[in-house]
Amino acid sequence: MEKEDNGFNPKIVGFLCNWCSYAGADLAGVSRFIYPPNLRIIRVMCSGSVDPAVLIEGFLRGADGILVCGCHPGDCHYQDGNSHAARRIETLRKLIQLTGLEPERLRMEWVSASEGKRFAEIVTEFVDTVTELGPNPVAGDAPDIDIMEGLYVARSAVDDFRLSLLMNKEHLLETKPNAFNRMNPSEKVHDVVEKAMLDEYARCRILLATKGQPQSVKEISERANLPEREILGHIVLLRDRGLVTMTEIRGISPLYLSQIEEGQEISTLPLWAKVQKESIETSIASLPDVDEATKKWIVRELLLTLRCYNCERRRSNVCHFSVCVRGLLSGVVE
Amino acid sequence: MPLLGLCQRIAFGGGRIASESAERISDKVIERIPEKVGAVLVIGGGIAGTQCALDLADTDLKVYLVDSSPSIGGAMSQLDKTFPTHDCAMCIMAPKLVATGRHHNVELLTNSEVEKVEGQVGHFSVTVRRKVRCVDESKCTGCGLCTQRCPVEVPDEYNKGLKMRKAIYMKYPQAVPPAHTIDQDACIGCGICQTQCEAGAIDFTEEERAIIIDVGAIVLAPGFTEFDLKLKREYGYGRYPNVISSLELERMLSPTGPYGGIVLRPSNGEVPEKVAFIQCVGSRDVQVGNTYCSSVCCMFAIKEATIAEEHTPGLKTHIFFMDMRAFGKEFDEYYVRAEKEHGLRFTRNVRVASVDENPETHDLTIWFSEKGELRKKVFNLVVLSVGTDSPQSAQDVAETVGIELNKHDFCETDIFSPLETNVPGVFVCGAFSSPKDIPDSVSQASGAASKAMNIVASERGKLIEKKGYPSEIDLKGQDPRIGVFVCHCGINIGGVVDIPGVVEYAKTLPNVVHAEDNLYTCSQDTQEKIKEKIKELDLNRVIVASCTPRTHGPLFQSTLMEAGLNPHLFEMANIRDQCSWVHSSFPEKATEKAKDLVAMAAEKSRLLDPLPKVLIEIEKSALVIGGGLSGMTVAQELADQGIKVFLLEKEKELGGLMKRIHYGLNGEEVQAFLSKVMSDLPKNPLIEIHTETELKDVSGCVGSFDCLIESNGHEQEFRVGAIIVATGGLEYRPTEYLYGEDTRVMTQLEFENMLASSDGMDAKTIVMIQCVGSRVPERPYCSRICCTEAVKNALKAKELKPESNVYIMYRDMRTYGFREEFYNKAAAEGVIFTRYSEDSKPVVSVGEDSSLQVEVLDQILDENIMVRPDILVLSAATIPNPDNVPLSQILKVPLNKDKFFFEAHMKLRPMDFANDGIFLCGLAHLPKFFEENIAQASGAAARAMTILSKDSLEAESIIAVVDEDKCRGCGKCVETCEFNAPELIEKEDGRLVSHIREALCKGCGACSVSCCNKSITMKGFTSDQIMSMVRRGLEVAAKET
Repeated sequence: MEKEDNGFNPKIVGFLCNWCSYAGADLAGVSRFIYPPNLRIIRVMCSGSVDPAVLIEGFLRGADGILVCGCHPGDCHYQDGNSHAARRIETLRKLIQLTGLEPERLRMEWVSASEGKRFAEIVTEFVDTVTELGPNPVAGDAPDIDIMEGLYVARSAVDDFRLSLLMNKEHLLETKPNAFNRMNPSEKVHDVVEKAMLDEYARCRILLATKGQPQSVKEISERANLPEREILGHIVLLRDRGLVTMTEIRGISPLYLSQIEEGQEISTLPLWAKVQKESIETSIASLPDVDEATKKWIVRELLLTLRCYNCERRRSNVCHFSVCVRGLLSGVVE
Repeated sequence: MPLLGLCQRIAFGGGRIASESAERISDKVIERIPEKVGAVLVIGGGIAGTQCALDLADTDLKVYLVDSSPSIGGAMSQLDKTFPTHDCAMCIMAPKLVATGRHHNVELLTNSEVEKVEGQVGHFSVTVRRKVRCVDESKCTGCGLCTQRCPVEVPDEYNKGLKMRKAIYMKYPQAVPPAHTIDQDACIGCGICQTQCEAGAIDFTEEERAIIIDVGAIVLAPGFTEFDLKLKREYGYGRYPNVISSLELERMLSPTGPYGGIVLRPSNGEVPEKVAFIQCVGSRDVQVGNTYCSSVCCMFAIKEATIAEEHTPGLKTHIFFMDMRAFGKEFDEYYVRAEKEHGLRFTRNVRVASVDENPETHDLTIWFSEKGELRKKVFNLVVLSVGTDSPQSAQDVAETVGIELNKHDFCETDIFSPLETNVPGVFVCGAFSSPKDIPDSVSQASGAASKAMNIVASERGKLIEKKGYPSEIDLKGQDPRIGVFVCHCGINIGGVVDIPGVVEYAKTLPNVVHAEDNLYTCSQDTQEKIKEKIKELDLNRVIVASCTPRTHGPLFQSTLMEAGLNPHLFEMANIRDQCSWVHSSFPEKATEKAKDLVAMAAEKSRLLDPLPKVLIEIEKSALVIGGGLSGMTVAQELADQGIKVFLLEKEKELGGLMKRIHYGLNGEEVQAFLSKVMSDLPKNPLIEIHTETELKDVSGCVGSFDCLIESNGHEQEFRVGAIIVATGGLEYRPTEYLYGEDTRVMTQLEFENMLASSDGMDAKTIVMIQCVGSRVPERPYCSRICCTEAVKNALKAKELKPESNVYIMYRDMRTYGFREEFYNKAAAEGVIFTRYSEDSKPVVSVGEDSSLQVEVLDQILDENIMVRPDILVLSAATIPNPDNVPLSQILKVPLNKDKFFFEAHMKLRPMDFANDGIFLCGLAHLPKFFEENIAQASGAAARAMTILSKDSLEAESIIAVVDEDKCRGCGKCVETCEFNAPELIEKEDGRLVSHIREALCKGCGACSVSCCNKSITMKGFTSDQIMSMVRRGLEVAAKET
């Protein structure tokens, strides 16, 4: 009964908690509740253990949809992991929306060990939804570079200490007395997290846009797809953190250059997709005897991987991919 | 209040004082005699409050300094530069802040508000509410790890919202106290800061508490708030991104500000090419209710425009204003320079009607009417010169303390008592009584300090804990035995530098007998440890390798003294601020450098000598030169505090220039006030008045000046501890406009005399010409008072003869502060104001019908007008006393080019000379109003009291010393010294040699460099000591290469 629409067969990853949802999925099987086969289930001990960076990575790797299932509120085997997960995923959906990817592709559901039927229904419905949305735009031979870049940026943002700290603590700070032993006013934490998410996403985008070549605010605005007016404020803080420097004033426009190097806080900002795509394509163009399909495959592999195939170095703007391309090719040949 | 309740009050922080005073209060209840308390409360820690607190504390009074913000510093701490000298505001202010924070007699109560005031003059009980800080000030090292990790961002008030700060923060890097604060409104209580804080300074359980302090007097210095620019909707602030306030621009210009010192358009981050300044936004504006002038914005705008052009290539500024109010010392010259030399553009006499934005480019169009035509101009950035409002807390303060406010919510004062509120024992200074600039605030601050001292002078020293130290161990014949204490500073140093490695290395250095590491060397238990080690191992030199001697040197020196060592046997290696913090990416190199720094310190340490403490005896009397209003005020203030005063006046009678003034702006009776002062003064047994007397000679230095005076051929000698210069000024005798040739032409003072005389004034048409002798090439300064005097006399003329026509021909009306309202009143009553320009001054002639004729080109109407006045009044300049020149030579103090006395620092030391023990005030400093003279004179008294209140003064220990055997008596050092410390004396063998007067030497070292045969050395920084460090430093460098 695999869902198929215009030949599209969505790939969906599910993270199921060991204690409720995974058991619920088993129950669906025991009870023979039929659901589409698009879902690849990964067992985790708690839905709260699913790292937002992993979810984004999933989309980058081509998942058309991601489902996270946990115990019902109050039933968590680890007290509160499910609520943490729910809060985090809510924020993550907003973040994903910023990248241009449909947030509906990420879903959190409560499934108890006795809800086999519910599990089957959820999966069926989710597969329908995703099928309707169509393929993940960053999957396939012609990934949407804009969204792909957005996802990379989002992953850097959630990896950065500030957002990761807030996303991890969001639920706790909303529901439990804080360090002062008082409750936070409603919406306060939510507002702080939301603002942090928007800010950190924008800052990572700016870092990406200023990588390698000094850029003016106007250019950053175009490359990072941010309103000009918001950029200066972020630049001020990035300069303070030593992540961006002003190289010169060209005419009336100060130019800024990202200082991200390997091993630094936002080092996971891996690929400056647009820049790299050009660079990779140039490298490949010079290679004889490689067919178009292979070339596309190489580009895609290179865009996705963090580490160089041959030299095992973390990618940086000094790498021109020639080594990687050759490495990959030799693999193909083998 | 029941007695039990009084005694049960528990105080935190000021607990010691509070329990003592509780006892005293119980006495008071029993005896019914209010007892005075030798403490003063200062509310507000801006520049005024800080100066006031320091002056009080320096005369051995206990001071509580309350500030609602987490750090002191106020508005001045946000400034980049100060006019007209372009001094860096923080550079000149930080030492004062640090001194206040470290002063034994000052208790800082930051993050606090005064809640209740009870009692009366001499003894107030004040309830202070201490808001929650959540950071223990004594434990916080200011390292900033908490701030780095805090996830909550909020707009940074210090940077006017151009930048974000964290929920746990320090207001600015140099903040005093140097402790972080948790912003309770922003914090979400995630607790991450606590996990980061190695010092364990963060305490979430801290609760708000109220403490009660007892003081004898209260000084209010709450400052001002900025006018809410959004109320001027037509200028678009808050709606258009490129319309900013002058304080936002100030932060942009600051190198520590958000944009690193260059001006950028908030809309797109680009450099603006054309920047407009709109003056008087929220000032001189009936529409918004602020009818007064904010006094500082004109100069502020010129300064910002000049600096913006300097900092940002291609940027051109344009200032739109009504009158340029450059009335302070050397302000007008600054204004002229800005236009002529820097090429700043000015559009005069316009009020900008509105600002429109092009929504595409965010450029701004300014609409204004000039010479009757509506014009517009396009700019990339518009700066609104924001006006000064009364402080936000004004109403609360008024209610708590019971003082009266004026209709603009500023503190009500009058011209004869500018520092006093209506509540006895409560004084005011700074911008709270009227908008004013820094030097005026500082003058008032010292003045208010003097007023407070008068009340509690008898209690001086009673609440002060004098720190006693054991006598010094005799080190004669001992080899250096050095102890090295290396600080981890949590992970601030230890996270980068290999501290155990440094300790092991230190142990190998010559003469080092002990080395150890500490988590925090500055903590109290480490101080005890250092003392133990000194005793146990007979250490006679101590090196601490940690942060910076600028903030922590005095702490460790005090530890040495407690252990019986001379404080100058201490040396510091700065391995945090100048090593680990700046080389965090190169831990190995940083460790190497730290080792070198310790080795260099050890080299110097071996050569250190104990430096003796030099005490200067203080003669408890003062000489006041000049018997005008200022001189009389100083004499009175000093005598009130038990100081013997010699008051010198050259004329037959006291009173000075004030004798020629009859009434104030509000109709105050000046002569009645003056005659009361003049009759009271001689009754005071401590004041010895010498009229018709001149100062002939002065020798000696601070604490003991030997003075020689002469009166009608009789000479007299006496010794005083301090000298105050109050020589006053004179009215210029014009040579312009037929003055002296035609009796109908008179000066403003002569006209005032006529108005006040019983004969009255019967002129139908009166013309006043402003700036006669002021703002001209030979006398480029503004005389400050003449605009207001003209308005005052014009109003008087109108009052006496309502049908008279009064014309005031002016260049800029400089009726600053609340005087502006009288300018408005004059205009409303029909006084005609005609602006003339410098290049086309009025022309005065006598017509064929022998009538006086005044012709002038009216700049506003752009046409010639001609008036035939019955009386022509010239607003003549106020000129310095010609005696200033010989006096400056006798006292060896400088004059400026206009021949007014030149103070030690134009911003922060308006009553001091660089030479200790000599002070100035009144017209000797620059022309100004009664109320300003009284404030400054009181201020000079307070400054003098910081010396005269003591029996002896501790001189600098780090001073120059002369090797008399080597000295050839060439006198180069005498020429070089700014402070007159060296003098040539004759030895018994007839040789001339240089001698350093220890009391005057500041330890700058200029003389030692100038000395031709190196016979002068600097104690504590001898050539040997410095060279040993150089050698050690280079040795290592050589090893590396």
